[in-house]
Amino acid sequence: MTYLFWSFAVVWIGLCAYIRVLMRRTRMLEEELRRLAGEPSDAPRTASWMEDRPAPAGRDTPSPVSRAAP
Amino acid sequence: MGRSPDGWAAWIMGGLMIAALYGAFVYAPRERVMGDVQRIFYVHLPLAWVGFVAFGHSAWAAVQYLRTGRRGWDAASAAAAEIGVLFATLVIVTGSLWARPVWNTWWTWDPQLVTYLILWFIYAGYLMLRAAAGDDERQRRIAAVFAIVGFADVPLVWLSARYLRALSPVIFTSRSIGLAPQMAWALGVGLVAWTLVYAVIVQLRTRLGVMEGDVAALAEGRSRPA
Repeated sequence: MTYLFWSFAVVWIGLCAYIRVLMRRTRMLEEELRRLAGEPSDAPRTASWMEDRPAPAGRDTPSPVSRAAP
Repeated sequence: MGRSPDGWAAWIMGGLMIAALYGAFVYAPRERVMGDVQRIFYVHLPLAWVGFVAFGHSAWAAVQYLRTGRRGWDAASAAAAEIGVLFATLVIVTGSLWARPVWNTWWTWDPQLVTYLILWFIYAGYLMLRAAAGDDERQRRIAAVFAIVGFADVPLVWLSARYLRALSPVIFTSRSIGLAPQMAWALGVGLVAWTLVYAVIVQLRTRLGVMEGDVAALAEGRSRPA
């Protein structure tokens, strides 16, 4: 029975490995398609937190206090 | 809450596969001469069947591609051939695993095995041709012709198993099935389950092939192909 079990396991390991490769390739292509079509991606993007933050107040950027000043 | 057709197919496939495993390991009786090793048969034959279906599907989609010129058919043909090669590989592996303890050999050069190996090489060559050719209309047409011509080997495998001396036993004849009823049921469920597995995977792989075409077209600045 051990021999039989491993014979079946060979089939399932081969099939699962193939499906896993297919799924990974599909995800990559979906991401690539979105990128090429210019749509926003679902995947986490590096440094995206920086894009959502307001620009830092520098010396030349008026703050609410300076704007209120006469 | 509605389930998508893919979700239903996955559930049915899972259920049938569990039934097929139950049939192979529990429901089917132990074969008198070969013992438990014979149970490999319940996965070996369905895999061989699905391999033939896949190569037939590839050839049929290739004919449709040559007729209509639509890229979707080309993607379907390539997808079916790829899955056919995967299943054919598993057929050879499970056949060897079955033959070793029963006939004391991993491989023998009988006509059925040789024609099956040639079939494997034909479609493996087809996949290599496609991988090397790139995304070109002329190459795709050559690959389609290759897929159609390659299918001519399938009847040879079938006939060699039937009419020439071969290691594999002949199960189906025009008059009867050479199996006990419980064995026939286990085999039947396996055939249906593996055919459904093929249907689900080939759909996934075809979608992937279409997306590859879309990405290549968008990268080159063309519109998406039909």
